[in-house]
Amino acid sequence: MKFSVFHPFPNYGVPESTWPNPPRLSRVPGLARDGIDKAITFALRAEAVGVDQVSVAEHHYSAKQLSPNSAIGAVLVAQATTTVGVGLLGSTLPLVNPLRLAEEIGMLDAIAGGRLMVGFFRGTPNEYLTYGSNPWESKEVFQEQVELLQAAWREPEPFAWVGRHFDYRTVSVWPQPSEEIPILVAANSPASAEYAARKGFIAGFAFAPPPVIASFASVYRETSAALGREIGPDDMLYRAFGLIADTDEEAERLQERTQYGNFGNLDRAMGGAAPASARVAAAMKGVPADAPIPEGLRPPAMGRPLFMGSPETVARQIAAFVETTGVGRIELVLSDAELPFADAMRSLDLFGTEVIPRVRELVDVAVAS
Amino acid sequence: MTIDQQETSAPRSGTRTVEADGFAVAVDVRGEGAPLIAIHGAGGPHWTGGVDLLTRSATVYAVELPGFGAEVNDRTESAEDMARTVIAVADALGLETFDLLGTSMGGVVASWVAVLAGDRVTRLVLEAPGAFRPDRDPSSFTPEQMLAAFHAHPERKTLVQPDPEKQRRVWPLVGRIMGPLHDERLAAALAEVRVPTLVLAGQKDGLFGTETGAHYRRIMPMCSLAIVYDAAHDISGDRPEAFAAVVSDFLRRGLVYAVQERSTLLYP
Repeated sequence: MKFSVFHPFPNYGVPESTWPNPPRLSRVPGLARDGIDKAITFALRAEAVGVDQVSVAEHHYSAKQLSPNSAIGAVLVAQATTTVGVGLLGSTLPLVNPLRLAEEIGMLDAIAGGRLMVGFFRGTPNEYLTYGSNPWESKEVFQEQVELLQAAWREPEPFAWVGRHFDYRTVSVWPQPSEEIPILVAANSPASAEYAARKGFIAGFAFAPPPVIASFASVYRETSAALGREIGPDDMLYRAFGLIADTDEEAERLQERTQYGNFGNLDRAMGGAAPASARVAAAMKGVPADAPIPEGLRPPAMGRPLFMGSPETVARQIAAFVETTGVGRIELVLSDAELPFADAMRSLDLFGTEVIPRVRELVDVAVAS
Repeated sequence: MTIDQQETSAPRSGTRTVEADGFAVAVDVRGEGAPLIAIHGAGGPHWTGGVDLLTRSATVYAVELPGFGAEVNDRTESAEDMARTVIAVADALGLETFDLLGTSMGGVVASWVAVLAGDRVTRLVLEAPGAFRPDRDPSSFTPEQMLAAFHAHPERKTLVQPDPEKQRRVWPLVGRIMGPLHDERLAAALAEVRVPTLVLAGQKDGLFGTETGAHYRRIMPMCSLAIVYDAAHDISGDRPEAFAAVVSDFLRRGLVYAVQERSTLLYP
């Protein structure tokens, strides 16, 4: 089993606004610096309390998650720490130049060699507004980008790439990333779970309830088996909100007060409810531009963290999740802009010092029996 | 037909037979534009979608190599031998200089033509060439693996079942032309060839992968390797439009094809 924390690099104290957050709100002296400093403090503590990996993602134009370039976030973490794993989880491929990303991963690998995991995602709907990326083509574009990235990663000689969406006449990535870097892709649907299995990547699940995750995990396992590839718990990762306090009651109070881990709130903050985002979400599922947007495209969001309570409670919740789904990599989101930083650090301390060892105990007992 | 006549009038489309190097060689001619001699693979002459599209900007001379028609060819010992025959075909066609396309086994022959007559070859295009290939044994492939090795998109083509009798007859010749996995003499000779060369490798080529292309890129001084996405061994059949666009651009501009001409201007 592996345990990681995802850090969204929030900026604190920014007045609420809809996505995209107006840039004028960022012009508070020291605001971004403070957010980054806190994130690095968090990462160093994660390393100290025995967490296996610190992960960063890619989100744009938002105070909630200051991570427009996941490679920069990853470098900040890698440079500050020494031994903890660094997860670039992940880059929103349809927004980026895949060759540029390959170069960034190469540079990251050079300074964090052996500690790196990279992930490639299609992105949340609002991100298709960020640079004006075509959502209807995003699946095809994503798949070609993955192939191009892998070629740039492996090919010993310079080459031209004759794709469908990319036409590069000179590709020669330096430094070339190590072939050992594990790759993860989002597997949060049967189709993407199948894709992850076909490509031999780690399956990345997130936020949905355990029975739903169990169904995606089944698809991933079965497709892998049909391809003759044996997969284990460490081939699957689940990211979810976590809130750990000294007692269950304290966790409840904290969550009530801050609405921490309310996925619906997060979705709204990231522009998920806006008409454009709804159209993007439909487009990503293949609904044509002139067709009406179907109802119920996005499943109802959880209003509170799945893993919440005292260390013992959370350890049992995680162990139960592992048993239901077979997922062996657990990644908790323990901080956001709404949760006071001291409470996030406390949550992290408890995660590392009490929850992780307890989960290992519980899972070992389950396996033994 | 003299060279002057060939330059001032469009060549007749259709098949003709020329005497070359002691063989009667059938050549199928299509299209309009600068001359491009095309040398087929082990399966024999075949107008793939991509090569057909090339006829819009080139006069394509699709040569049927001796031994791949009705008659057995016991004479040709090697790709180098066959290259001399192809040079003789070019002479018989009145082509002083020409662009050259070699596919798979034909790529080995075309490589030798560039070595032996480099001053006559204006551009060399090698589609999944068979020289410097990895040690993979296709006879161990299942029928599904074989299909996938050749075709990423069989649904886009009319697949012709090869005649087993003809295959048996031609296979020894194919072996002699393909030669060893790694021909050191060819490698050393290619290192001196200054013909602008484009090697195409199918991203899903189950026979040669991208290894042979990478080797060409490494040893030749004026060579570009193009990896074609979502194409198996039959590149010009799997991605005809992309193949024709990139190859015709390379035929026109040579290595300058690396300069992106496509406009990014959206509005005046």
